[in-house]
Amino acid sequence: MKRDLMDILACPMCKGDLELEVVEGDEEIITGTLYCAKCDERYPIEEGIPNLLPPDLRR
Amino acid sequence: MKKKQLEMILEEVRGFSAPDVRKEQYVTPAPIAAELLHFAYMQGDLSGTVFDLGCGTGTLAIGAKLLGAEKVIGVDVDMRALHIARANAERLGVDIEFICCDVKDFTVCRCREGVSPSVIMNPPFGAQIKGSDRPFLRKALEIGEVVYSLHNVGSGNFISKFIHPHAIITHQIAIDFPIKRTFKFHKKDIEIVNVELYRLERRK
Repeated sequence: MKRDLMDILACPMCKGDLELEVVEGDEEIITGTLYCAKCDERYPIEEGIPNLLPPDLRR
Repeated sequence: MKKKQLEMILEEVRGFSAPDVRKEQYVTPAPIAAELLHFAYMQGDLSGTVFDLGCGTGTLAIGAKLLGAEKVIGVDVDMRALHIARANAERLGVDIEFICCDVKDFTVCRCREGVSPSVIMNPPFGAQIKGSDRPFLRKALEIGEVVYSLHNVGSGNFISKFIHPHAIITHQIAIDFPIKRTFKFHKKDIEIVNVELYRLERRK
């Protein structure tokens, strides 16, 4: 995902803002996490695709 | 780009490796995708941000980008499908964002209020799970100012009631929809299913 996708993304549970934590990538994020402070939930970004599924449905 | 040319490129889009019958996963046939996309393009609805809800392996999303949409975002609940979609986009040289999320839970940031994206989609028709098209319609009209959606023939009354009073049907176009044999219960190699393309517009 591109960094500017953050303008669009929101937490699927509380609909609030997400914080981006980058592990690999710069403008194009390959690996990282999207963190929702309100839900204290981390959504992984793997191979450039953010995974916003609830934790129990992630493979 | 001519419709025929778009159709030929979209024939290159690879489908599901192991389609899930409950999700009604099948690739939107290229001629149908081209029909939807070309129509949306001619209406001037594919220039800005475009969402493809239930994008699967990415046919509609890729087509929208090929027709010049500024930003295209494909959303699907199936990560395996999205990996194929991304490979398809790379192979066809288009830049698309893919997000793995249940369509009903997908939320666009509040800071986007005032921006008016378009939504294109080929939702499940509810053939396997009744009413499975509803969360798609609901979400599409939450996100989009205009929505292009494929449905079974004769869905007009249902859709019109379902979206009232928030949106209206502005166009309804009949299309013949050939589905290649995907699941065992499909009796023929190619089944012609008649579908309808709807253009919905949110009321201001």
